[in-house]
Amino acid sequence: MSTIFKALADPTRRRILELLRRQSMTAGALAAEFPISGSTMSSHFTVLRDAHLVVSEKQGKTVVYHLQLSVLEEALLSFADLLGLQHRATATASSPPNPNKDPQP
Amino acid sequence: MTTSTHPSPGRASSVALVLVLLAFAGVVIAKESGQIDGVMAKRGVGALLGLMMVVTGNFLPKLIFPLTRSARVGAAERLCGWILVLTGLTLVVAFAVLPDEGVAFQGALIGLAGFAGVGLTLIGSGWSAPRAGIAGPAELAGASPVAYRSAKARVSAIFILHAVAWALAMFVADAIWDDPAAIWMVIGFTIANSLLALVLRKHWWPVG
Repeated sequence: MSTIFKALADPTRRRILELLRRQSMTAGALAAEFPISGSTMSSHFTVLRDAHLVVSEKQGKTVVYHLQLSVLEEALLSFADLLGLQHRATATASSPPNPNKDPQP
Repeated sequence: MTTSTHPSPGRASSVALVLVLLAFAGVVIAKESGQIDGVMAKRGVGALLGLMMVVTGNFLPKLIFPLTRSARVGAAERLCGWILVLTGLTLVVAFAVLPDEGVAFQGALIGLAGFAGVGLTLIGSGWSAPRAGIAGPAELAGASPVAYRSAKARVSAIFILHAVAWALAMFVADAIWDDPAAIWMVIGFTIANSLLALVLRKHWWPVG
């Protein structure tokens, strides 16, 4: 459960999930939605995949991401959005840095 | 795919369902040993059927089939998951608080209303088995391992929900027509389950 909370604690990752809720998207299309570096986006994808909140699929040379939220996880996502939960400074080193502080790619 | 320390959703749901089945066995043993009476046993079974709806409904939206899935079908399936979870939770509460008189009948009607809601949602979304990922060997030939596992899990989920729906229908039949009807319902369930297995195997069963 902690991996899910960790994944949902970050606003960028929540935004990724919101975008995927509308439709499945390629990694490139998702990255284009955020003013952060590709490596940071990759880290976000890894956290979401590890929590089984998204699933990736290779289609040719592109990677397509699909939403994989259970009802409980969707409720948690909505709840986190409602409260505007922010990623705390206590995040571990393995967690991607706050995208708001990231330099432009 | 990366390696994750988080248990896979399929495993977590399987463990939850096994626990519910063990609880079913516990209710039967308690009833047979005289620790609880018939009404209490019905309450227990009804609440556990609700829990099965919660577990299966919660898990259902995770069973994706990326290759053919449309956003509309995905949204409809998420809504179905919500309906099943909320109905299941309502069932648990109903079987806990409704008065003894008619508890099984009223509780079962709530559950069946949830299934009717799922049916209407799927019909309204234009849901069809191949688009929803219940695909046969041909469609799954080029599918990713994730999609393939999802397709297999979908078949299990269908059987579970089918069994829950029949159990609720038996509650209703038992309340209206007493034991003989329930016995016929058991026979009907066996036949319906066999037919379901035949249909799934012919058109949608993932093999290999």
